[in-house]
Amino acid sequence: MLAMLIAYDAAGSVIATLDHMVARDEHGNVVGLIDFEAHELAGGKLRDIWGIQDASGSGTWPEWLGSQAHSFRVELGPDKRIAALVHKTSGYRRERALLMAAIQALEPDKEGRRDIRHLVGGPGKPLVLDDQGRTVGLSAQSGTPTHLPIIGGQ
Amino acid sequence: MAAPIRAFSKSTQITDRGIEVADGTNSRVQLGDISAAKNGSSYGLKVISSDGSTVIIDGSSDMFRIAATGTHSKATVDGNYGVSDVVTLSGLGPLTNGLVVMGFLSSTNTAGSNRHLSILMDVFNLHDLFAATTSGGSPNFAFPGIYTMSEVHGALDGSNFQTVTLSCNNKAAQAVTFYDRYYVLAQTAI
Repeated sequence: MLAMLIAYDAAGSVIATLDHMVARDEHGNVVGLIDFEAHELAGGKLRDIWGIQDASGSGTWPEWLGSQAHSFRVELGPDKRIAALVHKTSGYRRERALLMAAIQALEPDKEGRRDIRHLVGGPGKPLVLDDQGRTVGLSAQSGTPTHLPIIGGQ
Repeated sequence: MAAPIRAFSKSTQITDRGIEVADGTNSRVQLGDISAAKNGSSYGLKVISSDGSTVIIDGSSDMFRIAATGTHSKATVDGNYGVSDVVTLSGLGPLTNGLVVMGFLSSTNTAGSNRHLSILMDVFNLHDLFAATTSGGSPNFAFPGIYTMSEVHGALDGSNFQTVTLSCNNKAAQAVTFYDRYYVLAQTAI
């Protein structure tokens, strides 16, 4: 599953995120996106992807939170993966297990796909959180005011 | 393009050079051999404007594409000068030339925070500080003093990996955390 990378310091505070990184062939041509989670689950070192000077560790996270992620600290699970993000002032917890359960509870379409954007956001489209760390919704996509004329439109 | 081999409709044709879409007057989209010499020297997608002249996409112009994007932050206290955080993007592989790095900086972290392009400086109001215009002279020259400054830049490290550095200076008499949203941009044809 597409995921964001999060780096944390010795106290567990989030100090960096990586939304996405392209994969390139030997000629420099883009051939896709690096699958952070597959690399992590295969036991690969995330230092193969990125390194953060002040970090004590990093891991994948299934939501895109942008710089709002810096308001959280991580909690690691027994498998050493990030199991939860805990808001540093409110204590609000964003749990990986609950999020994955919410994704699984969504009804798939006829082709077996689930639209999970409202749950996880996406690269360049982080979820909007309130000052307690709770999800407000997707990044605003209000569009051009409808009374403005458009060249080349339908 | 050459004479059509098969026409799907009045506007879409497969030719001996590829696929062509016309708008009834002009060729608007060509896929396949798009070389001007029609000799197979350039394959790609060519999109032409409605007047039949201006090429919108033909692989001869360049654009920036986002190779990686993320955020990082650096906590500082009063008196920190030149402290930095470095992100090393080893997943992009070793590079011959450094990519373009664009950073957006803030000293707060809310949805409404101002984001400054690559350099953020907070200064004392003009007239808050005074200096002499000559050594030992009367300090009657007002100037703005900088109390925080941060900047973002890109470079290649010793392994030729792309790095993004957030460098910070703090003389604000209080702790300041600097936040950066960075984009690493690769030039490519369009």
